[in-house]
Amino acid sequence: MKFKIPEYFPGWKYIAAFVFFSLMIILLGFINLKIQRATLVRLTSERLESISKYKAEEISNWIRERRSDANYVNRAGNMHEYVNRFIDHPEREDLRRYILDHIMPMKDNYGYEDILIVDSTGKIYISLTPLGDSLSSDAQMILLNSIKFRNAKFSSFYYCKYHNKIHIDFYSPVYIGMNDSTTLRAMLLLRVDPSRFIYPLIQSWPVSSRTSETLLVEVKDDSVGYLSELKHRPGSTLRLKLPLHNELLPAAMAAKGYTGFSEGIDYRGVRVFFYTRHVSGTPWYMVSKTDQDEALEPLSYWWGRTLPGVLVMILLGLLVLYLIFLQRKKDHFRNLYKLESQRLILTQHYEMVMQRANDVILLLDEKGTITDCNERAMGVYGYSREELVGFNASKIIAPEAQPPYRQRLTTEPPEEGFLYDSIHVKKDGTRFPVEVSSRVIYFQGKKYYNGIVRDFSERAKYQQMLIQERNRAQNYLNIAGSVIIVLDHEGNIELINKKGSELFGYPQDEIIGKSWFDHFIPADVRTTVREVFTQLMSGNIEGPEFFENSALTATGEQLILHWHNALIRDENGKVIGTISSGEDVTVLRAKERELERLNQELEERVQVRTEQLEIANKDLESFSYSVSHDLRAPLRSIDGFSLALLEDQAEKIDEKGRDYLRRIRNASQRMAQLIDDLLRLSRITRQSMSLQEVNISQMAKQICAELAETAEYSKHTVTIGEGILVTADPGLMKIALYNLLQNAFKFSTGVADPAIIVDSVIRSGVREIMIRDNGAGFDMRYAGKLFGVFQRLHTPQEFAGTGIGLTIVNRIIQRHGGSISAEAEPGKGATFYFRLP
Amino acid sequence: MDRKIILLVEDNPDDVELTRRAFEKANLTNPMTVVNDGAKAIDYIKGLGEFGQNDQHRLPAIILLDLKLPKVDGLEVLKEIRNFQPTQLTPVIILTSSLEEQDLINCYLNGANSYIRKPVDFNKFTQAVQQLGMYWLLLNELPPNPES
Repeated sequence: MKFKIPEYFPGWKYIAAFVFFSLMIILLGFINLKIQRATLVRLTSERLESISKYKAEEISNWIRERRSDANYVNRAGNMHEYVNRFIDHPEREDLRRYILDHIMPMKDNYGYEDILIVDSTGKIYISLTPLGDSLSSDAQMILLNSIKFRNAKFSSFYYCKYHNKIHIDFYSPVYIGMNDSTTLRAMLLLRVDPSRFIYPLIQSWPVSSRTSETLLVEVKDDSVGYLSELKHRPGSTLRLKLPLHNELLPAAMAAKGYTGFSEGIDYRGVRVFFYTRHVSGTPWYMVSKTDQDEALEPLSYWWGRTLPGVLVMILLGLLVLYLIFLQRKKDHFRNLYKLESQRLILTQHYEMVMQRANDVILLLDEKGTITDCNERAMGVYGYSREELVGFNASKIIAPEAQPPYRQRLTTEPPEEGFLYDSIHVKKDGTRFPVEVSSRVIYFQGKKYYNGIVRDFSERAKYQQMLIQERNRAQNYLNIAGSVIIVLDHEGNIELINKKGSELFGYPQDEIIGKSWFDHFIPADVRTTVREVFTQLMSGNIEGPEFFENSALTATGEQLILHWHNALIRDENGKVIGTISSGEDVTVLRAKERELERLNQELEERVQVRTEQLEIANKDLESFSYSVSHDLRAPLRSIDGFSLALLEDQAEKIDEKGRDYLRRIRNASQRMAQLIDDLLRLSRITRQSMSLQEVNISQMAKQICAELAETAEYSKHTVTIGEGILVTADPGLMKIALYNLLQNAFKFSTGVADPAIIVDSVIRSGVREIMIRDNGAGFDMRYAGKLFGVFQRLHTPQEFAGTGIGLTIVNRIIQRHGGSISAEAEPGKGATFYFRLP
Repeated sequence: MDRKIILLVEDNPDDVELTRRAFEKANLTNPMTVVNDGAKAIDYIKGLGEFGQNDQHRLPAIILLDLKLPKVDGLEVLKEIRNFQPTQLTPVIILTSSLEEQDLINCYLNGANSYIRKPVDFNKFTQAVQQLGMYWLLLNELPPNPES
C-alpha cells in the first residue's frame, strides 16, 4: 500500500520548529548538567584542599615535636658523658641506671614505643622493650657512612620483623668528647608506633564519606610506595608499590611533586578526584582523594528531576504539533465543503443559464460536431436534442455562410472570440439571419467552441425601416440651401447634406465617418476648436448658438462659415453630438474686413494730419509772437526819427522833404496797422473754441448799442429779429457779428436813411442769419474777392479799413463748420448770410 | 534832495534814444540809467558784477522794463525784482511792443504795476510817456525807500 502524506499534514515548517524546540530543551538540560558538575567538582576540590592542608600541617608539627624530643633527651644533663662512658663500660650498672632514669620518663610521658642507645656499629646497648631489636635502614645508612649530623633525624615508616609492626625512629647523635667535632660514638633512638597517632590522623576524615581517604606516599627508586594504610585495600601498608610514570595515578602525581587538584584513576582503577601536596619537613607526599562516583552523586539526583522535565516539554511540543495537525485537517475539510457547495451552486447556475437562455447555446468540438445544446436550440432550429447532438454544425448553416464558417474553424481564434453575422437554416428549411458570438474553451485538454446564436430577423426588419427613414430625411436635408452637418460624440461626421458636400468639394459618402476636425478645420486652430467641442460634449460648457469659423475645402481653400448649432442628446439627456447649419459668409466677411481696414487707414491718416496741423499751429504761434514784438520795433524807429527830423531839422528840409517824411510816417503807421490785423486774424485761427448756445438777437443788440454811441452811426435804424439762437463759441461769434455790423454801419453811413436788419431766414431749406444794410453795396462781379485778406472793394478815401474784417468773419464761420455768402448791388446795399451747422 | 532815478531796461538803442527823447519832450528830467539786457538789469538791482564796486548806483524809483531782452527775458527780470527784498515794492512798468494776451497775464501775475504797449506813432508814445511820468513820478506816492 502506497503511503501518501495528506495535504493537511503540518508542513515541514512545523516539524522543523518542533525538532528545533526539542533540541534546544535537550541542549539546555545538558548545559545545566555541565554547570552542576563543574560546581560539584569545584566544591570537592575545595574540600580536598582544606583537608589536605590541615593534615599535612598536623603531620609536619608532629614530626618537628618528635625531633625536638630526641634533641632534648640527648642534650639534657650529662647524657653525653654518661652514654660515652657506658659504651666504654657496658658493665657499669650505675651508668646504666642513670641513663635509664633519664629516658624512662620520656617513654612513659610522650608515649614512645621504645628508646634505644646504639653505638656506631649498630650494637644496641640499651632498649626498653625485651624483644630483639633491629634498626631502620635509614639509621643503618648513617652509621655505616659515619654521617655527621647535629639535629635529630628521623627514619621513614619501616616494617620491623621482630615486632611485626611498623616503626618510625627519631635519632640524635652522641659524639666522643664534648665539642661534638670528633667521631660519632653512639645514637639515641626514640621509636614511635605510627598506629598510635599518625595513622589515625591520616585516616580520619572530618565528614562522613564512603570513599574519601588520605594517603602518604614516598618515592622508592622509580616507583611510588604507599606509607599509610589504604582504606580500600587493608594490609597493604608499605607493601604496595606502583610505577611512578603513571600519569593518572594520584600517588605518582604526588610523588612527582605536583601540588594541586586533579582527576585520575587510583590504585584500585577507580575514577577519583584528588589533591596532592608535599608534607613539609618530610620526604613524604600526601594524597587526599574522593571517588568521582561519590562526589558527583548529586548529579544523579538532578538527572532524576531534570530528565522527566525535558521529556514532558518534548511531549508538550508533540502535542502542539498534533493539535496543529488536527486544526489543519479541520480547515482542509471545511474548505473542501465550501468549494463543493460553491461548485454545486455554479452548476445549478450554469444549468439555469444554459437551459433558460433566450439565445441558442451550442457546444462544438474541434471538428464542428455539436456535443451539447440548450432547450432554446431545439425550439429555434426545430430539431430534437437527439437530432442535434452528434451532428456537424454545418447542418444548420446556410450554404453561402459555410465557407467563412470553415475558415474560422481552421484559424487560430482570437482571445476575445469571434463575433459575426451569419445565416442559419431551420429543420423546415427556413433561413434566418443570426448574430453569433463564439469563443474557444479548453476542457480536459480538448478544444471546444462555445457558440451563442441570436436570431435577429426582427431587428433586421427594423434596421431596413430605419435606413429608409434616414434616406428620406437625407433627401429633405439635401434640398436645403445651407450646409447641414451632424457630428457624433467624437467629432466624426455622421451626416452631411448635398449643399455641404458640394461646398467642401467631396462626394457625400466620402465625407461620412471622417473626422470633422482633422479634415475640415485648418491646422492652426484645430486643437482649440477640438478642445471646445470636447468640453461641449462632456457638458462642461454651453456652446454658443451662433458662431463663425474657418473650414477647409477639398482644394485647400479656406471658407468662413456662419453656424447655427444645436446639441443632440440621448434619452438620458447626455450630449451625444451636434447638428449645425452653416452659411458660407467668406465673401461677405472679406468685404467687411476691407471696409474696416479702409476706415482704420483713414483714421490713421486723420491722426497724422492732426498731428501735422498741431505742429504747424505751434509754429504759427511762435511766428506771430515774434512778429508782434520784432516787426513793430523798426517801424517805431522809422516813425520816431522821421518825426525827430521834422521837429529838430525842420528849417533844413524844404516843404517837399517834409511831405516825404510825413508820407514815411503814414506808411509806417499803416504797416503797424496791417501787422496788428494779421495778428488778430491768426489769433482767431488759433484760438480754442467752446461751443454753447448763443443768443444772436441779444448779442446784436448789445453791439449795435455800442456802435451807435459813435456820432456818425447815431442816425441808423436797427431792426433785430427776436430769439435767434445758435450753437457757437460766444467769443468768436461776437467778433464775427461785430465786424459784420460794423461794416453795415460803415458802408451805410452815406445814405439818407441808413437802416440795418438782423434776422434769421430760410434759404434753400436751411436756416441762415441775415445782416442787411441799405448802404453802398458792391458789384457782385467782385464778390469772390470779398473774403480775401486785405481785399477791398472800396478805396481808403471812400471808406477807411485794411480789408481784414470780412476775412476774420469768414474764418470764424468756417471754424464753426458753417459758410457765409453775400448779395449786393452797388448803391443798393449789401446782405450777408451765414449758416451754422 | 536826490532826484528819483529811472531804470530803463531796453536792448534796442533806437528805442532807448526815442524813450529818452519822449521823456525830454514830456519835460521829465529825472536821471535815467539804461541797461541793455536782462542779466545786467538783475546785476544792477542787486549790486552785483560791474555794479558791485560802483557806490554811485542807487536803487531806481521806477523801472521801465522791456519783455524781449537778450540773455534773461523781461518776465524773469520781473520775478527777480519782486523776489529781491529792496525792490519788491518798486513800481515796474512793462514797456513793450507786444499785445499778446499771455504776456499781459504773466506780467500782471508776477507783480507788474503797469503794462504799456509802445505805439508806432511817436507822438502817441510821447503822450503815453508824459502821462506815465506824470502819474508814477509826480502823482503816485512811492513806497518808503528801504535805503533812506
